[in-house]
Amino acid sequence: MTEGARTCGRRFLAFPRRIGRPVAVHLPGAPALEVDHLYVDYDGRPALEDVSFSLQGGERLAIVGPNGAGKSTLLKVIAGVLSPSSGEVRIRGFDPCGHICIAYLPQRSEIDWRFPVTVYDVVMMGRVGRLGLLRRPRARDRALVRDALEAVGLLEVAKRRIGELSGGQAQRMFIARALAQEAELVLLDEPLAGLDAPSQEDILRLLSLLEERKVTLLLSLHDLDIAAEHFPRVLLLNRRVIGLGPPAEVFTPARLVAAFGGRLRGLPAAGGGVVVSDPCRTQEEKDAGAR
Amino acid sequence: MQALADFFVAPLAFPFMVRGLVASALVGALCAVMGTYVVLRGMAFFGDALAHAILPGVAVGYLVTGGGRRSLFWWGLGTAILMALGIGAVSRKANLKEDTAIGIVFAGMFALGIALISTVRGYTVDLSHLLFGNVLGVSPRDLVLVGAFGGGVLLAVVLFYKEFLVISFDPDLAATLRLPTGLLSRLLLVLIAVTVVVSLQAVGVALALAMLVIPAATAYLLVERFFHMMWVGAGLGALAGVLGIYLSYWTGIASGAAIVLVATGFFLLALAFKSTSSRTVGVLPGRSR
Repeated sequence: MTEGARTCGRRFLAFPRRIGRPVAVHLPGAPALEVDHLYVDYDGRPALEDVSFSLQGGERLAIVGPNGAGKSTLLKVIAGVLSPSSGEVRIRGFDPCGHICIAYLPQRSEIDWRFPVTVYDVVMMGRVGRLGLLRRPRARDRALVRDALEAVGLLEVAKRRIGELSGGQAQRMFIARALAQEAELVLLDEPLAGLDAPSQEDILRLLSLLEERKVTLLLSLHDLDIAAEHFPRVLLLNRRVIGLGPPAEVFTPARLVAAFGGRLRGLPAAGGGVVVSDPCRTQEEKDAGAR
Repeated sequence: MQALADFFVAPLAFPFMVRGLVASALVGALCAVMGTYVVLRGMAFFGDALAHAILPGVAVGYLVTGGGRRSLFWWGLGTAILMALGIGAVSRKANLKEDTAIGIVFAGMFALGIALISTVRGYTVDLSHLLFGNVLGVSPRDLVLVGAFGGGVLLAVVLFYKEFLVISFDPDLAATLRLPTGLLSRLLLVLIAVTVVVSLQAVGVALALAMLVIPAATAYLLVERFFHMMWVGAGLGALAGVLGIYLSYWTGIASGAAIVLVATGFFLLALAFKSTSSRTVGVLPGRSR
C-alpha cells in the first residue's frame, strides 16, 4: 500500500485533465530515450551512480549485470515508477511522467498469479491509460486487445485465469499488454528468466516483431550468450556503466570481472575469447521455484 | 412447508426485524464488494485495525454528547477516515513497515477507546453494542445512513472500477499508465473506512473484519474473474446477513455472531465444494511453475 518514491502519481492537482491525455509531446529528432548522469539511492544506499546512455527509436539494448546491479531500478526510473536522486531521464526530449507510451513489463515474480483476472482482462488493462476516467472500453479498444492477443498467440487462452498460464505464456501476455498499450518504448525486466529454451525463443521472436513495429526495446538479461547473440548493443551494469556498445567490445574478460567480480564462473573459450557464464543461475532457479 | 413459511414470515411482523434484515443485507453486500479489494490486496489486518481504531472516536462522541447514540455514526466516520489516511502517514514518517505501523495505531487507539468508555459508569452495555453490533436496534434514520453511505461507496467503486483494478493488480502498471496512484489508493482506504463504519451497527467492531473478508474469500473460491467475485460475494454477504438475522431471532444468539457464523458456513461449504471438484478435474496441464 505504501507508494514509495513514485514520481508520476504525485501531482494530483493536475489529475483530472491529465488522465488519458499525455502532457508531453514528442520532440522530432530527440532520441527515443536519454539517460543523463542518473543517480538513484535506495534505502539510503546508492543503487545507480552516474549512469548515462541513449537509445534511438527502434533500437534494442540489453542490460546485463549481476544481481543487485540496479537493472530493475534503472528500468523503473526510466518507466517513471521510481524517481532518481539526481540526473535526468528524457523520453523523446521530455520527462517520463508525461508519457503514456512507455510499457514496463514486470518480473514474473512481482505479480500475484492467484489474482482473479483472465488473460484478456490483463491485456485490456493496457488500455486504461488511454481510456481515461469514467470511460468503458470501446470497439477500437477491444479490437486492439484482440489483435495483441493474436500477435502473441494467446487468443485461444484469452479467457483463462492467469494462474493457469505457463511461464512463457505469462511473458507473452505482458508483451500483448504492451502492444495494447500502443507503447513506443518497452522495458522488460528479466523476460527470459526461468523459461525453457523453446519459450525463450518464442519471446525473442516476439521482440523482433516489436522491432518491426518500430518499438524501442530495453531489457535486462542474465544470460550473456543471449545478449551477445541477439542484441547489437549491450549495457554492462554494476551500479555504474561498466561498458556500452557491441557485445564483442563490451564482453571482455576485464570488463566482465569488473561487473561480476568474484561471481564470474565462466572462462574465456580457447578460440575467440567468448565468455560462457551463468552467474545468476541460483537466482533464476529461485524465481522459477517461487512461481 | 407451512413451518418453513412461518420460519421466514412470522418475524416480519416486527418492524425492527424488517429493518434489521434490510440493514444486514445491505451491509453484507457492501462489505463483500469492498472485501474483494481487502482480500486481493492483502489488507485484512488494515481492515481489522481500522474497525478497532474507530472505538476512541466513538467514545469521545459518547462522552461529548452525554451518552446520546445519534451522533455516534458521525464520530465513527470521522475517526475512520482520519485513521485510514493516518496509518499511511505514520508508516511513511517513521519509516516502519506498514503492518507494524498499523499494529501500533490499532492497539493504541483501541486501548484509548476502552479507557475512555470505562470512565462512564455502566459502560458495559454500550461497549458490547459497539463491539458486537446491535442490528435489531437499527432505527429508520440509521437505515437511511447505511443506504446513503453504502450507496456512495458502491457508486465510487463503479466509477473507478478499472483504475482500482489496475492499482490492485499491478501498481507499477498503474504508475506507467500515469494514473494518480497515491490518490486512488487513499480513496480506496477511505471507502473501506466508510464501509467499516456503516457495518458497525450490524456486526460491531470485533466482527466487521469477518464480513469484509469471509464473503469475498468465499466468492474467490467459486469464480474466476474479479467482477464476478464482487457480484457473487455481494450475494453471499447479503444472504448471510438475512439468514443470520433469522438464526438470531429463532435461537436467541447475538445477531452479529449469527451473521458471521452463517458466512463462515458458506465459506466452509465452498471450500469443500472446491476441493472435491478440483480433485475430479485435476491440475490443469501446461503449468511449468
